[in-house]
Amino acid sequence: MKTNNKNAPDHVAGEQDIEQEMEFSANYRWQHWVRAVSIVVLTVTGFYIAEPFVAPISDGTPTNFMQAIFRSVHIVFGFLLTAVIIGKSYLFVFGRKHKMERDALKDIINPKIWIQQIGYYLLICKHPKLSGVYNPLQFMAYVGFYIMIFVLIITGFILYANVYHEGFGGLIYEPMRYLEEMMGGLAIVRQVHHITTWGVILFVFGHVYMAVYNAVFGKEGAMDAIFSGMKWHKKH
Amino acid sequence: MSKRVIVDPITRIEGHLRIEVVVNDDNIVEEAYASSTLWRGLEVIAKGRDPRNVPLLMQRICGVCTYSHYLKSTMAMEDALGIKIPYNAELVRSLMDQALFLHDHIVHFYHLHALDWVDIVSALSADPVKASELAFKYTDFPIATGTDDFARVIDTVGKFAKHPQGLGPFANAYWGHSTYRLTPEQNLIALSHYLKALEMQRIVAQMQAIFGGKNPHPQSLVVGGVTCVMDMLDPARMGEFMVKFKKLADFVNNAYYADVLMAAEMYKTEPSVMKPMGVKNFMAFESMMLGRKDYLFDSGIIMNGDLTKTFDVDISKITEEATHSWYADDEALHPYDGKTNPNHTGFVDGESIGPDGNVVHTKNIDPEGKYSWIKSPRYDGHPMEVGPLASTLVSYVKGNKRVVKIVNDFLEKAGVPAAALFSTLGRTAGRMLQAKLIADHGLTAFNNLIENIKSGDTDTCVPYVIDKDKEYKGVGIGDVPRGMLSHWVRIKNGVVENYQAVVPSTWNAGPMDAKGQRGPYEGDLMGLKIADITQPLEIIRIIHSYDPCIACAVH
Amino acid sequence: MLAESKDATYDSLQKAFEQRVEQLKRLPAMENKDKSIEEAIEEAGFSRRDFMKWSASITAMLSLPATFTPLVAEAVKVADRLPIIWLHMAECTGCSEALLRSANPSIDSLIFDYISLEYHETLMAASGWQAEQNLENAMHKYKGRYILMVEGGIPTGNEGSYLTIGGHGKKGKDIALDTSKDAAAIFAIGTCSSFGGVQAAAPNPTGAVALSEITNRPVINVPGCPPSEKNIVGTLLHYLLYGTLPALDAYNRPKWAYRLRIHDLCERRGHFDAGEFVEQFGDQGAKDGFCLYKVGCKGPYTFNNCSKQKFNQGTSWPIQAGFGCMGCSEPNFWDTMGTVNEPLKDRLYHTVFGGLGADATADKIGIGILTATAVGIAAHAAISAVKPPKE
Ligand code: HEM
Ligand code: HEM
Ligand code: NFV
Ligand code: SF4
Ligand code: SF4
Ligand code: F3S
Ligand SMILES: [Mg+2]
Repeated sequence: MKTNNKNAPDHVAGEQDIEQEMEFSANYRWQHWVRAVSIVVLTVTGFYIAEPFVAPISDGTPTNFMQAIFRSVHIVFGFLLTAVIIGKSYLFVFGRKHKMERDALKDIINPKIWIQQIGYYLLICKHPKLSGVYNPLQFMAYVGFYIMIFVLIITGFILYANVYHEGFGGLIYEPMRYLEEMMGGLAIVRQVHHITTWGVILFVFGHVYMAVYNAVFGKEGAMDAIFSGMKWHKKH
Repeated sequence: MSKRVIVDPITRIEGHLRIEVVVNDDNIVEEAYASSTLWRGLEVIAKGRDPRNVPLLMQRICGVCTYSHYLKSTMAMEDALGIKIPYNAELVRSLMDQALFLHDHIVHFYHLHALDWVDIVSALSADPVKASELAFKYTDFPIATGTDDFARVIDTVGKFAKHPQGLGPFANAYWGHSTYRLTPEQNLIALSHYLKALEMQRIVAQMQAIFGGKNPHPQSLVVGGVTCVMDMLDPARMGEFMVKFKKLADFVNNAYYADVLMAAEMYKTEPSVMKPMGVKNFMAFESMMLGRKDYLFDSGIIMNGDLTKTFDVDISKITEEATHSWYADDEALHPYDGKTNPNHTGFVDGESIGPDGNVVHTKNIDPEGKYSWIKSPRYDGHPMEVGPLASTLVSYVKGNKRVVKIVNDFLEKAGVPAAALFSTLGRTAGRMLQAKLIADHGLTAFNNLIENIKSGDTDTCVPYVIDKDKEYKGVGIGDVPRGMLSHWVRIKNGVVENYQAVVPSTWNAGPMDAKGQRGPYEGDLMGLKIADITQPLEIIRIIHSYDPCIACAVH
Repeated sequence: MLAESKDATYDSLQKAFEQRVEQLKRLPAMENKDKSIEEAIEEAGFSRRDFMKWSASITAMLSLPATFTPLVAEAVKVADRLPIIWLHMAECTGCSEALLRSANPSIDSLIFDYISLEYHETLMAASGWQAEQNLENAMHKYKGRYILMVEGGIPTGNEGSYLTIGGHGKKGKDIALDTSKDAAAIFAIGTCSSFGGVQAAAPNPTGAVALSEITNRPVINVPGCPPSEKNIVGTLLHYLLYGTLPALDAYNRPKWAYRLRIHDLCERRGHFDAGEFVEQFGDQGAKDGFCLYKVGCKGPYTFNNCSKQKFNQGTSWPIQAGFGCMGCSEPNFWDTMGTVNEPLKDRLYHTVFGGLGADATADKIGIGILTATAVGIAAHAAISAVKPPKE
C-alpha cells in the first residue's frame, strides 16, 4: 500500500475497478481520536462532577479524594480538548491540506446538493457529487458541534477560573468573571455547561451511526479512512 | 365637624401600614380603617414550584417572625404528603420555636412597643437612688438597678435629649404626651431595660441559630425533619442552648414581667388603654410540643368575650374574602380554593388634618371601595382576634394548669379582674404571659429531647416520595408569635398547584367584610378619644399592642 | 514576590487611609454632635481597650494587616459625622433584623441607632407626618452627606403603585429615587434591593427590580437573604476609611466580602474532594459531617463569606446546620439555583403545559432526546437494511 503520494489517486495492483484515495493524514486522524477520547472522558467525569454516582469506601476521614481526582482528570482532558480544537480550527481556516474541507462550503450554498443529500438519507435519491469531503448535512452537524464545543470550553474556563485562582486560572480570572456576570451567575454557567454536554452526546450518537452507516452502505469506506487514512471508491 | 386623620407610615412595626380615622368634634373616632400599602405576591410566586422549595420562599414573607412561615409551610407539605417526622425533629423544631417566641416578644415589647408607654425624656429627670429602690417593688431580683447604672443611662441619653435633632431615631416623637403615665423613675427603669434587651435579643437569636444555622431566616428544616443532626448530638451545643435559655428566662421574669406589672399599675386607669375591644372573639391553635401529646399552647375559640366556655376549632369554617381588599375575587373562599389576583384601585383624592393641625390635601381611603392589600379572614363568618392574648385566654378558660396559675398570679399582683384583659393593656400583658409560660416550661422539651437521644434514638429525618401522578392537599397550622397561622397547599404533577397563607396579622388587621363587620384593628379604634389629633399616640399604642406585621398580613 | 507586591499595596493603602482620616477630621462636625463615638462608647461603659479590640477585629475582617488597627479606630471615631437614612421598600425586614444582631452591643447601637440613624421605620419613635418630616429634614440638612441604605426590592409594575407610603400616597420607587439623588453613597442591603429578591422571582407579579435599575447613581450591593450583620457594617466602614466606594465585583458587591465562593472556604470541603457525600438528610453521612453537594448545596456557585464569618457571632451557618447553601447572595437565585435539596443538574424547568411538563430537568431532557434519537436511528437502519440507499 503506497500512501506517500498524498491526495493523488493511487492504483492498487490486482484490484482494477477499485481505487484507493488518501483522505485523511496521520496527524488528522490522531487529532480525531484525541478529540473522541477527550469527549468520552470529559462526559463521564463531567457527569460524575454533576452527580457523584460512586462513593469511595470511607471511614469518615477524607483521604482518597475521589471527587478531586475526577475533577483533575476532567480538567486535564478539558485542556487537551481545547488544544486540539483550537489546532483543528486553525487548520480548517489556514491549513493547505484542509482545502478539501473548505471546499465543502461550496455545497452548502447549493440547494440542489441539499435536496439530493436529504433524499439520499431518506433512501429516495442518489448520493450527490460533492466538491469537498463533507456533505452539507454533515458539514452543518460539524458546525453545530463546534459551536457547542466552544460553549463548553468557554463555560468550562469560567468554572475553572473559579476553581483554580493561580497561574492560568488567575490570568483569565477577570475576563471570565465578566462573562459569568453576563451569563447571569455561576449557576447558569454550570447549567449551560451541563446541557451542552447533552448536545455533544447527541452529536456523537448520530455521528457514529452515520459513520457506520456510510461504511456499510456508502461503499467508500469512510470508516476505514478515519482509521487508516484511506478511502475507497469505484474507478470512473 | 368631623375631621380625618391619617397615620402613614405607622412605624415601629414590620411593614407598610396606614391607619385612617374620622373623629367628631370631641375627637372621638367614628370611622376607622386599616390599610396595607404593599403587595409582593408570594402566593402567586409559589405556584408551579417544587414543594421542597416553597417553605424557604414562604419564610421570606417575614424576617421578624422569620421561623413561623418556614415551619408552617414545611408542616403543610408534610401534612399533604402524609409524612410523620421523627420525635427528635419535633422537639428540635419546638426549641427553635421557643427562641422565636422569646425573641419576638422581647423585641416587640422593648423596641417596638415600649416607647408608647415610656417617655424617655421624662426618664432623664429621674432620681437614680429612688429608681434603684423602686426596681425591687416589681421583682425580687431586678435586672436594672443600682444608682451608678441608672446615672449612666441618664447621662448617655441626656446628651441626645438636649439636642432634639440629635435624637436620631427618637426625634420628633410624642414626648410629654398627656397619656404617658409612668413616673420618671419608672420610665428610667424601662429605658434601662430597653438597652439591656438589645443584648438579650442577640443571645436569643443565637439560641435559634444553634439549630437553625442562622437567624434571621434559619435554614435547617426540610420536608421530613431537620438537618441539624450534628448540633443535636453535640453536648456542647445542647449545653449552650440550655445556658442561654436560662439567661433569657431570667430576663423575662425579672425585667419583662416586672415592667408589664409596673405599666399595669399605672395605666389601669388610663381610658385609652383600658377601652373595651371591638372584637371579642378569640381563636388559638395547638402548638409548641413539649413531649409526646403535650403541647404548651391549646386550641380553641372564645366567642363574645364569654370566659365560661370554649369551642373546638373546625378548620373547614375558615374563609377569606376580598370585598374591601385589592383583589379581583371578592367572594369568601376556603383557603384550599383561595385566589390571589391583584386589582389595585388605589386611594382617592381628599383632605385630612396635616402635621400642624391644618387641613391638607391628601390621598384617602375610599371606604365604599377596596382599600387594603390585606384580605378579611373569617371563622364561620365571624371576625376573630388571634395572638398571645387569644392563646392565653383559651388555655385559661380550658383550665390548662400551667396557664391558669400564671394568669391568676398576674391578675392578683396587678390588682385587676380577668375582664380587664379585654383591652390594649390586656393584649400587652397576654404577650408577656406567653413569654413567661415559655420561660417557665420550655426546658421540658429540652429535657425530653435529651432523654430520647439517651435512649439511642438519633433519627432526625424520614424519607418520602412525591408521586407525580397523585394530587395532594395539606395544611400547616398552629400559633406563632402573633397568633394562629395556617398555610394551605395543593400539589399536582409534583408541583404546587395552589398556595394560600392565612396569617395572624391578616386576621387582626383585615378590612371590613361584605356584611360591614370590622376586624380587630379597626374595631378597637372605634369610640377611641384622642387627646391631640396631631399627636395620635393613642392610635399608635392600640395598633402596636397587636404587634403588627404587615409583610406577614399581605405577603 | 506576591508578598512583596501585597506589601506595596498596603503601603499605598495606608497612605490613602491616613489622608482620609485627616480629611474626615477637618470636616466641620455635623450639627449637635458634641462628642465622638469614642467618647460615647466610654460613656456607655466600654473601655478604650474594648474599643481597640473591636477595631482589631474589624481590621482582621477587612483582611487588612494588624498595623491598620489604630487607623480603623481613628476613622471610626469620626464616623459619627455620617447620617444614615434607611428605607424599607418591598421587603420582609429580615435585613433590618440582621443589623440588630450586630455584635458588641453599644457599638452598633451607637453607630446606627443613637448617633446618626435619621430614618428607619422599624426603629424610629415618630410615626405618620412626624416620620415623614424626619426624612425630609435629614435629606435637606445633610444634602450630599448622608448614606442611603435601602432594604427591599422596588416594585415598578402597575406604574409602581404596589407600594405607597405616607398621607400623599407617594410611590416607593419615587421615594427611593428622590433620596438617592443627594446621597453621598448608596448601599442596597440584602438580595431584594441588590437584585430584586424574592418578590422578583418568576413570574414577578409586581415587577420588582433592584435599586440599581431605577437610579443612575452608583449602588453598592450587599446581597444575602439577609446578609450577615458583618457585611452590612463592614461595607459602611470601607466607605469611611477610603472615602470612595470599595472595590467591587461584576455585580457591584464589595470584593472583601463577596470575592470567594462559599465552596472555597467551606468546612466540609475535605469531604467534597474525597467524594464523601450526604446521600439523604439524617443518614450516617449527615451525622459524620459529609459534604452536602448531593442534597443540593449551591456553595460552588455562590459568592459570599458565610463560610468564614458565619452568623450570630459565629454561632453557625447553613452548612454547619447540615442544610447546605441555597445561593442567597446570587442574582435571581430563587429561579436559577434549582431545587433546593437536589444538585443543580436536577433543576426544574417551568413549561407551558400547565405544569405537566414541569418536572423536566436537564438530564431528563437529555435522556429523552437521546431515546428519541436512538429510536430514529434504529428505524432508519432497519429500513436501510431492507431498502438500501441508491448509489
Ligand atoms: C466508529 C468510529 C468513528 C468513525 C468511523 C468516525 C469518523 C469520522 C470522520 C470520517 C470524521 C470527519 C473527519 C474529521 O473531521 O476528522 C469525523 C469527525 C469527528 N468525529 Fe468521528 N468517527 C468515529 C467515532 C467518533 C467518536 C466516538 C467521537 C467522539 C466521542 C467522534 C468525534 C468526532 C468529532 C468531534 C468530529 C468532528 C469534526 C472535526 O472535529 O473535524 N468520532 N469522525
Ligand atoms: C466536551 C467537553 C466537555 C464536557 C462534555 C464537559 C462536561 C462537564 C459536565 C457534565 C460538568 C458538570 C456540570 C454540572 O455540574 O452539571 C462539567 C464541569 C466542569 N467542567 Fe466540563 N466539560 C467539557 C469541557 C470542559 C472544558 C474544556 C473545561 C475547561 C477546563 C471544563 C471544565 C469544567 C469545570 C472546571 C467543571 C466544574 C468543576 C468544579 O466545579 O469543580 N470542562 N463538565
Ligand atoms: N402576623 C404575623 Fe408573623 C407572626 N408572628 C406570621 O405568621 O410576623 Ni412577621
Ligand atoms: S433580602 Fe431577604 S431578608 Fe432581606 S428583606 Fe429581602 S427577603 Fe427579607
Ligand atoms: S457542603 Fe457545599 S460548599 Fe461545602 S464543600 Fe460541599 S458543596 Fe462545597
Ligand atoms: S444560602 Fe446564603 S447565608 Fe450563606 S451559606 Fe449560602 S450564601
Ligand atoms: Mg394569604
